[in-house]
Amino acid sequence: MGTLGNIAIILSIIIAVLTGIFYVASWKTPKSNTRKYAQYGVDALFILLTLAEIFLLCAILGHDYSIQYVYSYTSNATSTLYLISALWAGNAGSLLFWAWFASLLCFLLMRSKREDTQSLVAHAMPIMMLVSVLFIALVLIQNPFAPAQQAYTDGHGLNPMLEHLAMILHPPCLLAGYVMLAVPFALALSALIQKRTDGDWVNASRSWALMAWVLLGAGNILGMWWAYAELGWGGYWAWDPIENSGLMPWLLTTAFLHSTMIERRRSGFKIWNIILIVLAFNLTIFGAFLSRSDILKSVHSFGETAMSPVFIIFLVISLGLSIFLLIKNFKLYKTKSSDESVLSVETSFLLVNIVMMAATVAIWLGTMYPFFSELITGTRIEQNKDFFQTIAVPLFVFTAVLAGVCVVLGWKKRDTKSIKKPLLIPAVMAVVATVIMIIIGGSKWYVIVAGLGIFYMIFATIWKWALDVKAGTQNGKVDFIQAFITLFKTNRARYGAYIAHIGMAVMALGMMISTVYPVSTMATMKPEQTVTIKDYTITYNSFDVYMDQLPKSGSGMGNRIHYGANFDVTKGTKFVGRIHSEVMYYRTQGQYVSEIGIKSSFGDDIYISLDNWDDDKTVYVTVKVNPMVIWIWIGGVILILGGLISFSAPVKKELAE
Amino acid sequence: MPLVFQGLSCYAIRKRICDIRGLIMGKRGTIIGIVVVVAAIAVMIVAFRGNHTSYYYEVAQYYDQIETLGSKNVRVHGDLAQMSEKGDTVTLTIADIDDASKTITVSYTGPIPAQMRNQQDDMKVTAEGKYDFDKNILIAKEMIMECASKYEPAT
Repeated sequence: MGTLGNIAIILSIIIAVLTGIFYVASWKTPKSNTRKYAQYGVDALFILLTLAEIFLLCAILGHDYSIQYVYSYTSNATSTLYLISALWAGNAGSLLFWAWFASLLCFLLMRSKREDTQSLVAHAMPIMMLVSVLFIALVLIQNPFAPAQQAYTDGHGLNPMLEHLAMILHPPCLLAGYVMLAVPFALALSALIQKRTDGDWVNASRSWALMAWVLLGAGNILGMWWAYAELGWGGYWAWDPIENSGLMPWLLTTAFLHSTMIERRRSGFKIWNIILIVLAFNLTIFGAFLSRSDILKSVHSFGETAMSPVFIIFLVISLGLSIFLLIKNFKLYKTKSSDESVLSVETSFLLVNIVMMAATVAIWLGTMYPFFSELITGTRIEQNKDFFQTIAVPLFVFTAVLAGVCVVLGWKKRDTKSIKKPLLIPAVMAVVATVIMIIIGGSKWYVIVAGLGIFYMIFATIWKWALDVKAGTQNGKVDFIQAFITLFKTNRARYGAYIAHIGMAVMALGMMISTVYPVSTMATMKPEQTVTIKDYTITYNSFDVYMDQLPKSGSGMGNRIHYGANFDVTKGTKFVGRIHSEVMYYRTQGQYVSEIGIKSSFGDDIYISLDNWDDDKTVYVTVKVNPMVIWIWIGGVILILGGLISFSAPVKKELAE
Repeated sequence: MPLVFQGLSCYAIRKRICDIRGLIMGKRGTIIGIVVVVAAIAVMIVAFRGNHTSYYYEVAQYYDQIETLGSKNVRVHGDLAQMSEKGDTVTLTIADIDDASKTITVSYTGPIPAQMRNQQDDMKVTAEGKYDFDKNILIAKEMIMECASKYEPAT
């Protein structure tokens, strides 16, 4: 399998280079044989990299330990699901997955049926090939088919910490989201190369950018869920450089999705859109570079590899080409605003762009601070999470208010008088909701300010939606539900976005409350002893030590030894639930992994981490009550759902609206 | 200068001023944009001046300038050489990655990441905290482990 895989990879890099050249050669002769060969090249690239993935999968499923990668990430005891996830669980595998996904995107992009995008695609393809060459080159450096250093009968196994549902989906979501941004990026450069100002590239980019946004969002949320459930520090976001690398392109893509609406409807923001997508895509590559180099002492760092020069060369070419083309065509793309009033969609979208850009710049500076501080002063200084929160919170609150205002304003030009009422009613609702929040206990000033912003975002969206439905009833001729359904069906792009807005606000509410109001205590407990935290009483019942049985046969011992403590949780006289918190020891890997006990509810999460234990069953635990964490996950699901609903809407239909 | 030229140049200057004013003041959206940019920069300045920083050192670097650094908040990174647990407090010895003879002792009370107990030779940790000169130990308020998500196993 190893040899076949290597052949497929070497052939694929040759094909990618040739395909790029053939596309450039056929720019002026789209009907020529050269173009045909170029298109065959795209097919061949996809087939070769798919084969490489299949070869690696076969090697993994067949426990072929003559390949180092298979030894490193799987073992005889690894279940089928995790065997499949081993395809992207390691560095080399993730790079191959990346290259394969890029080739899939090229394959799909080439089959774009729309006539008007054919020349855009032809000019974008060399850029896509450049991206493919980058990833295939990286695969050659970190080769997943490299032979094992010695003969093994069993593998090292997947890192036990990654044995979690979120960790099966988190990497491919993020990787796919990252590389999918390459398509709108390539289309933008394609438009610049052709000096096309018709905005077709923006239409052609919409679905790709939206799906990339959904995947990046889902990937980040899954990562947060995993960190919360598996790592034991009770948090979900640490502002680590690699986490930030996932957030920054998402922020810029959010701005891009909004900003391109102005270009699609009013031919504005042309330069903004190009800059946003160029930065978003290059930040993904920069993030990949950060996680695979040692320039930042990130806790996620892959360690030093020979990959850094490849990344730097690519970034120089990609950014250099983008800047060159943009400067060359700057005048051509300069647009005049069609609506210059303060209360206009254009003004609010301009502000969205500025805020997202400011947030990205600030996060980037904070992330790179250790690097620059060491370069300039010789001492490495790191910004901790308070720094990032100081930036993120005010900017988010502003964005939330802006989102509310923006939704209410809609696309129609309106005078200040007619807009006052729809803007003010949600504001009153937000004030009422905030007062209720203060009564319940959220009385810190920054919680009140943030709460006002978040509630405004929610109520303004719901209010506008209700107004739309009311208009849809045509003064009672159509019933309310029918009007709602008709409106939703004909306007999925808009209402998908509304749903995403509500999801984001719900997530933000969960994040705010769970960050500001967690209660935590550490306790040493003997069986039958209790500890009280907030209104809850935690009783420590028993301690178990047991080994896994071997699957199926039921005889013999498995890989894991469980050390688990059982707790009962009561609130007053009411029984809330039972919590099992354990530490597992993986014998093959010599590794301990904690399985946090969490009892979730719509109010509080009771979170018990087993820190240590004595032979006499005394346990040392950290107990936390994290309020409203579940709303982060609920909001996350709503956010992604909204994105998918928007994605399902046909692009042209929305344009004709 | 003849009057007519004076008039012209005045006109030209006025026009130029109008152009500039038009550029800045003409678009109310632009003004708001500038206000937001200024506000965003202000937020950044507040964040950067907020002293949310930790000085980052490898064990050997820290070892050599422990006196000069005093009780500044630091992050120290190195190999986990030894660990002993007593209840919910762990005492760790962290050695420099390149020079194992240089070590510091760290005391940490709090949730112990389970991975810290792993039996691996190359377990790297970062301790964040302040040095206690009376006890000659670094009192850590946080222990950061190498993240597992991109973990390359020892082979």
